[in-house]
Amino acid sequence: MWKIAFRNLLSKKTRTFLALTGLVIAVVGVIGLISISDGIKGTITETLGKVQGVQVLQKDVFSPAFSSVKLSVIPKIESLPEVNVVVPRVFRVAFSVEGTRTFSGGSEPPFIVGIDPVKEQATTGGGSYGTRVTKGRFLKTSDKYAVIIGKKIADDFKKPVGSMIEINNYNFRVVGILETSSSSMDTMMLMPISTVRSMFGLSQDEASMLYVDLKNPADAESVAKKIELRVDGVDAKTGTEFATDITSVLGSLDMFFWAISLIAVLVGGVGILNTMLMSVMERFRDFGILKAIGWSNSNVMTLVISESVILGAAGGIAGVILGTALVEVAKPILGFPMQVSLSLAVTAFLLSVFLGLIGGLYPARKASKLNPIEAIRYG
Amino acid sequence: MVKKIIEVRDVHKYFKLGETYVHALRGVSLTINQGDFVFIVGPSGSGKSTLLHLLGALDVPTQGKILFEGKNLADLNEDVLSAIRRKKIGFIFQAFNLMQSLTAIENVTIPLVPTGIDEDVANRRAAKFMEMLGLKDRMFHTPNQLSGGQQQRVAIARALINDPIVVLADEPTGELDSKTGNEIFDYLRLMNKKFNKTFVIVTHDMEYIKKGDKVFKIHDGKIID
Repeated sequence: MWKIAFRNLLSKKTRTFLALTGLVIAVVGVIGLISISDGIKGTITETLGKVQGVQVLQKDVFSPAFSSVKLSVIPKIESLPEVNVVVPRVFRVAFSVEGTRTFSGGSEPPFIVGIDPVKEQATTGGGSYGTRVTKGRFLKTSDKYAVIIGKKIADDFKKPVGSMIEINNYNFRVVGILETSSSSMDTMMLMPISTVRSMFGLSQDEASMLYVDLKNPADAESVAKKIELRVDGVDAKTGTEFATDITSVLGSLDMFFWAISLIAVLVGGVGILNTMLMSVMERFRDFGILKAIGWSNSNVMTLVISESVILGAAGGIAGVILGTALVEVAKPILGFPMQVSLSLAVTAFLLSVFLGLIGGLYPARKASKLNPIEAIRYG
Repeated sequence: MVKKIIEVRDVHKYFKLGETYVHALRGVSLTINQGDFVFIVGPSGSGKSTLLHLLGALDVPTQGKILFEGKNLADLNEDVLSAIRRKKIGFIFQAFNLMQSLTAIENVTIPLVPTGIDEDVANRRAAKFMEMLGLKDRMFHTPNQLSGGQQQRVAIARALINDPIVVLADEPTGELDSKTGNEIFDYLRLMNKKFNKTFVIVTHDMEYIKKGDKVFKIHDGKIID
């Protein structure tokens, strides 16, 4: 049966080729659009990952500068399976830099942030300051009076890497410069946590806040709830409101791309329907003969559907290969995030086979219902 | 003891043609026995093709009975009729009606495809018939590479491949010159003798009927002789 179906398709090469072209365009369209959508989602999720995580502060205290959390709660939080690492940070206001008062009245003051260099670099993205140091280096455990300053501080006070800077009447060596798109981080000064503690007379077993770095940013909300249940006297905050918004935007983006894909698929489907219908009508006589010599209605139907499914499968394979190749070629040119996942390739292929099946059903039925006498006489 | 294969008893067939009914067969009765080489002759429009279609279980009579090996075809549904065609009947058509996309041997074996028979077995069986019909070196040609006579011989092999009880031929030489037509009849006769196969052949060409055992002359839907 399959062999005959193959032969029939090969005997009308031009038409088979045109039908395949229609299918290939549909499959390439789906692959192109969905890969763009997946790519955008991937990029956004990755970006979200940078701001995601859970911040643990003293209960009912909203600014980390006035918050105090005991380090003894860290093991309770780190024992949660979703947690990658818990990083203590000490936040204090820098009231003077280079002998200048740095803030007055309503403006946000620059912060001194005391960090643990080792733990900070174990974060996967999250609040990792390390990845944002654009000049110089990150802090080391052996550093004492070393500082990484925000770009704005560096520019305002003209402090390149290697220069000395006076902060709250202490002298520090600038080892790195932090550059971000966030204005609050551009005025930050990162120092070793123990240095900050001794500058401000804090005990070694406390921090202003704990940054909880997660294995999967999507767990932020549930982890925050668990932390509040396990640890007394703290608030655990997430950026999930933001994330929820983004997720719904991504959802509609996805819907949009699928809707366009659906149009491509419908065009492909109508194409294969048209091809098979034409091909069946041209062969009324053949089907009449087959029925006369004893093929049953379902035998004839099977033959036509086989032809159509072969078309669908061939179009699917060609479309997936071509689509993937085009995406690979287009990616560097467009500078656009695109990815063809295995599941997308499989879905696109199955879609094409399915189109073949559906597009073949009606023509197959038409062929099977032929009256053999009339088909032979007039076919 | 002669075995009756098909008995036609007082069969009438009406066709609706637009608003009017055509009375194509008006009370035909005849019997076809095992091994017969029978002609049905008559002018065009006499009802001979209609009768052949009824004999071949392609259609059912409006009135009367057709007993195929004792079973009344009018009582059977479409699936059973197609099974009878598949197992018991071979067809040869005027226009050869081979599938152009397939080779000669594939055309011969096509009635066996729905039976699920092993391809090698089918091909061996086809090769045997094709050799007898002088098509040994034409097995892998496509129909458009064959002459009319060769195509009709392929069609004969196709009609025999399912080992039918009866082979029905509708104007098998209608598109062939008389020399080739004679050859085709000689082949049909050969198959009839060699395998004791029953042949019912519709023709309007009186030249060939002397080759037959039995001739039914049909005129205006009735057997006249």
